[in-house]
Amino acid sequence: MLQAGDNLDPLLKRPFSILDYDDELLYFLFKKKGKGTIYLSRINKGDVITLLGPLGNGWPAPQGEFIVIAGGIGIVPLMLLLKQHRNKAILFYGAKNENELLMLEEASKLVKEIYISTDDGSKGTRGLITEIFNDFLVSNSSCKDLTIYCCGSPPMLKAFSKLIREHNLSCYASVEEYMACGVGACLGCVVKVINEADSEGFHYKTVCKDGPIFNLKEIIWDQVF
Amino acid sequence: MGSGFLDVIKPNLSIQIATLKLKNPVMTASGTFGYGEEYSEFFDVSRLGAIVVKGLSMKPKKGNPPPRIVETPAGLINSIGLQNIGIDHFLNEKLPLLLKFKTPIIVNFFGDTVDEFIKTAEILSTHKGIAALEMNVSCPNKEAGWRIFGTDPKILKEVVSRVRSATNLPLIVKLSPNVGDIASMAKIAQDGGADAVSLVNTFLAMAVDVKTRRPLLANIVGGLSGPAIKPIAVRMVWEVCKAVNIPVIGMGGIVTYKDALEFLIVGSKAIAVGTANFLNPFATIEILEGIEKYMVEEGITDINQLIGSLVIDYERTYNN
Ligand SMILES: Cc1cc2nc3c(=O)[nH]c(=O)nc-3n(C[C@H](O)[C@H](O)[C@H](O)COP(=O)(O)OP(=O)(O)OC[C@H]3O[C@@H](n4cnc5c(N)ncnc54)[C@H](O)[C@@H]3O)c2cc1C
Ligand SMILES: Cc1cc2nc3c(=O)[nH]c(=O)nc-3n(C[C@H](O)[C@H](O)[C@H](O)COP(=O)(O)O)c2cc1C
Ligand code: FES
Repeated sequence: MLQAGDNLDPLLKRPFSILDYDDELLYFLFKKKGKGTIYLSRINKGDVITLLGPLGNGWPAPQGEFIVIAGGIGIVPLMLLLKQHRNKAILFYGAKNENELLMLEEASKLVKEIYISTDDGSKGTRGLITEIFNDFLVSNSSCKDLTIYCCGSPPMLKAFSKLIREHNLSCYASVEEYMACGVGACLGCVVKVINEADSEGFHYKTVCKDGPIFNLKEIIWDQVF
Repeated sequence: MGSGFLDVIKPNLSIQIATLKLKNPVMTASGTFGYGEEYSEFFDVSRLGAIVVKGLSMKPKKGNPPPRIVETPAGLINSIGLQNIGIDHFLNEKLPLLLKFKTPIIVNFFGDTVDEFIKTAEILSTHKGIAALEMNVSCPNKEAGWRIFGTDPKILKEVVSRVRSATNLPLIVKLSPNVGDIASMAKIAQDGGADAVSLVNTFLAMAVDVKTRRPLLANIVGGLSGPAIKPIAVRMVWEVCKAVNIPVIGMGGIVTYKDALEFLIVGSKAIAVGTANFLNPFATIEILEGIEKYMVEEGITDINQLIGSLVIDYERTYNN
């Protein structure tokens, strides 16, 4: 989690994935949304910012070939996975338009195959990446056994959950929720997860500590988006 | 350790709340420090005056659906919904770990009914190692149309006095600030047998997404905490300190040692740090060190000289 400045507004640090690292630096890539990211975008070289981390779990290691599905800025937490397992992934990468297909060149060098889509058709196929993936599955049914690694907006994950269940695929997804503490203390960042031992069939898990990566099949989405 | 000079003038920070002796007045606020272990990775939590754990109930509670938190200017609205692991799990799994820390463990608890409050207090009281109980009366009462226990004088009196009879541990009543006259509620808690009162809990609040015209919390409303509430909290703590004889534990928006000093000066014997833990995991320790430094600089040798040392030059302007 990152925060620029030490003023009280915005109050909380914002969660970000690590894009990459080397001996000296951690690399982040973020999209300007509201106060937190606007302030972070204004920092200059030499400014001091606050970092709390690394937090939470990581991707389970892929065995052999695997599938990666990224929506827009959701590519960020997947880049290290692609880098650590070069030429093993089939990447499906979708965004609103060409400009939002970040790290496209870098990512395409790390993968075995790549499929691109944009909502407006400015690059790749026009349409949603989950639909492109669905079409791909129809003609490549052998790929149904490959593990999927996925990150994208909540609506995308929600749509994708349905597909995963229908085809009985195995998929890990990096999930987003608002965070306060980042260490599992406030219970503010929960998602609903299937729990068969429970009388109502679910319990809440924290995205910051138990996640952010969950087995997508286990997540219950009942929020309105 | 340290320079001989500082050793000589190291001020006394210890305070006492009923039979409970604390090495310093800095505690954690319930629900913001988990069960201690979450923050023990950052610093030696044994240095704290006390650890107050997340509110517990008889049975585990799932809590509210997400989104549960929303940030507002200098504040945080939460509707966690009192999610907790239940007292059995706490006593078996968490308490033994907590007892390794060399600081008193204060257990915050609540119930849906007066009976549940009593039963929970009874069970907690039979366990060795718990230093004190803090009852959270800012929770809804199943038997009174889910009205908040702590906002109804009659119910507050009943629940406090009955829990009092159920435990020999020091009993802290954590007051709800969502009332018209906080001082009278504090008196009720005192008359019911509380050894101390703590305040403030969060203020009932709401935030709306103007684009979607929907509430930002799934629960619609939640409790506001953080720097935004501090001036109201200081005022309430001051009013309560004037109204009761029992010790008062002050909290609400404390981020820096100066914030903590305000609460001590208006009369609270101890202070608790909540939301600030989220902003800075070292907040409690930095506040403790700040208080100590301030005392050295001001030549105050004992924290009790500071507590309640508010100077009011024009008392007559206050119409109490
Ligand atoms: C584990 C994790 C990793 C992330 N990694 C990245 C990353 O690498 N790069 C990146 O650009 N973003 C990432 N995000 C999202 C990023 O944290 C949010 O965009 C950021 O918190 C927005 O803060 P803000 O103050 O700019 O906007 P705010 O003013 O807080 O919000 C602006 C808008 O964004 C939405 N929003 C804000 N935070 C969240 C959230 N946590 N979940 C869902 N919606 C939210 C709100 O609905 C609001 O409409 C990640 C989130 C999580 C949980
Ligand atoms: C996420 C969160 C969870 C909380 N949970 C509890 C709780 O379980 N029991 C309780 O008595 N108070 C609870 N509180 C209230 C705090 O203990 C404290 O009274 C309040 O937040 C004001 O202090 P602050 O502004 O320093 O946070 C909670 C507060 C927050 C922010
Ligand atoms: S952000 Fe506090 S529990 Fe996840």
